[in-house]
Amino acid sequence: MTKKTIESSMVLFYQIEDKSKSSQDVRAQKNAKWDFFNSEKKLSHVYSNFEYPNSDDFDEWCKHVDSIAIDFQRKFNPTVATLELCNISQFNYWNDTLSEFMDAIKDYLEQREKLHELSGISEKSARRFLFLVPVFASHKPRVYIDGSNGCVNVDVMTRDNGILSTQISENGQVHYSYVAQNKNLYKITGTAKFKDSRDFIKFNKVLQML
Amino acid sequence: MTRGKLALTKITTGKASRYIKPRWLVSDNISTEAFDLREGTPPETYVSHFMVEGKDDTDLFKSAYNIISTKITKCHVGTIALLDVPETLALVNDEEEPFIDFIEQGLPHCGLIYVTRSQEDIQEAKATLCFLARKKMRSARDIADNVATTEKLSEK
Repeated sequence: MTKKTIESSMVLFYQIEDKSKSSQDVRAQKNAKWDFFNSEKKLSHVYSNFEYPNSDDFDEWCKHVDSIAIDFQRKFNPTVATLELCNISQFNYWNDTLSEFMDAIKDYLEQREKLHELSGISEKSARRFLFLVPVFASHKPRVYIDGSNGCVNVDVMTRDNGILSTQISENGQVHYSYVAQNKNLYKITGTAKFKDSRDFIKFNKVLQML
Repeated sequence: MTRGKLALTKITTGKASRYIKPRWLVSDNISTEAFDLREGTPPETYVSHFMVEGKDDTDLFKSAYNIISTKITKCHVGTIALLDVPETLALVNDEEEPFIDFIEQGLPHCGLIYVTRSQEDIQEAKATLCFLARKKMRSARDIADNVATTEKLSEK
């Protein structure tokens, strides 16, 4: 292995350990990933497969998300929880992010019972966030609902002590801003626009800069 | 999403303190939710801060705690962050049109308002505010202990 490859493999090892789960399925997935890692594919290919979902699984996930009804008019929409039942091999790695989202919804609905002026949760934004769950999953996102427009916001703390702040709008736009320090404070801000749900996987282009 | 249509007196100097709820703190990082418009009675147009005074950080945090503890019961469970107003305005408002302002709301109470309509700009402002706020923050419990110790010493 070259020095660069060894360094990168340490990063990969850390990510695998960090997501340790006890179930046999997860162990089997880990072993499969190690087999994959040991193959002679290019490092960039290996890295992208560790970090992000493969395209087929992502398309399958989008189908699941498209198939559920999302309605936050009532206390909580139980059909979102049914996403946990999806039969996608990578799902165990995404489940924490889905749980984080459901906690954010419950928290917001509780607050809204006290503060009625808070915006209702945007179901369009919520669905678009759900498309993005596999993309955010490896970044330990913190999810909350913006009280002024009901859209889903996602924060990601980065390895270089920076902050990525994103808002998933209703119309397929993801507004993002990454703020960190080098010699001075620097910011990378923009809007990603997606017209097809299966293209949300390409938001990993933004996350790869972190 | 313009949040600041009130024509109030702007604040451009001094230090502003912000109470950070426990759930906004994730491993010593502040979530941008801390600068989201959410609390208070309608119309909710600003993010509440309190202007503080003091000769050093210890004084500033004490000043913040003394104010915030009268407004928020059980504030000791959270954290207090300090923002230097001129520095914050300079680093957040780094384009031709400003993104934020601090306005008087009956001092020491002041409000941070978003004066941009662009969601991109608001995300940037919130991320920058979190970045700056986490540079100077202390647990309210630690500040309270410090205040109590100081009071005991002064009684002797």
